[in-house]
Amino acid sequence: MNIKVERIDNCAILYIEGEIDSITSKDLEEEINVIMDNGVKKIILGFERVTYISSAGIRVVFMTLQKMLKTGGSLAIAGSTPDVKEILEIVGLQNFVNFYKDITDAKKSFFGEC
Amino acid sequence: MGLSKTFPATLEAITDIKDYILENIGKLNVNKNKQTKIMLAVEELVVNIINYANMKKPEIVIEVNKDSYRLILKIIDYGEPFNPLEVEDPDISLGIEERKIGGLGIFLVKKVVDEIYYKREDDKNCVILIFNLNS
Repeated sequence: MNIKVERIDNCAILYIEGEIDSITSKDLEEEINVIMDNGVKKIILGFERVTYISSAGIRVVFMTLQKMLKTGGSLAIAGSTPDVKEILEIVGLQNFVNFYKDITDAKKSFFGEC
Repeated sequence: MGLSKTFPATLEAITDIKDYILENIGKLNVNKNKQTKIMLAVEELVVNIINYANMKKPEIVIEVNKDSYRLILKIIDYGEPFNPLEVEDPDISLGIEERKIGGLGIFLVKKVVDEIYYKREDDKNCVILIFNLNS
């Protein structure tokens, strides 16, 4: 898994590529912690190139949401493939996160005033 | 009897276990969606074994059986008795603040397999996963 971060004021886009599994999810968690500690409030998880996610990756998303409850902030997922989205929906993530069809769409609709 | 292979019960072995299964289902007509579900179920169960099972022997045995329309995987470990089917499902209707973060792995397994069975055989846990390949 590879992650590239693009920061725009207090918003950030994570361009994630590859598999988010029990091994790689730790890197994602670290990356999110770093940007949140640096004052980022709105995060887009760019899932266009994510080919697989396991519960370890889902756990990172839930932990981020719980952290955002305390510190303020919001999270969106952009461009997940149908296979990945199916897994995310099994655990009910669509109740807490806005899904956008791609990163361009998420930037426009979700970041707004950034 | 199908093919079987023994792996060390370590997090690093997950990649090898997934590769082993992929190699063996390569000739079957498995679509990408089903393949993702197979990999997910295997990863979740293997991680669970590594994290929870107090093992007599730190090994995991993967058995692959297949016929024309089903893939049958058997995952065997030497830990204390642990039946994943008895794990309570997380309440996914709860709000984000009350949601427990653990317990999603086994829940996902139950959702993505077509059939799942557990049996204790001597000092081993055996979990059998069945995937219908024409669905």
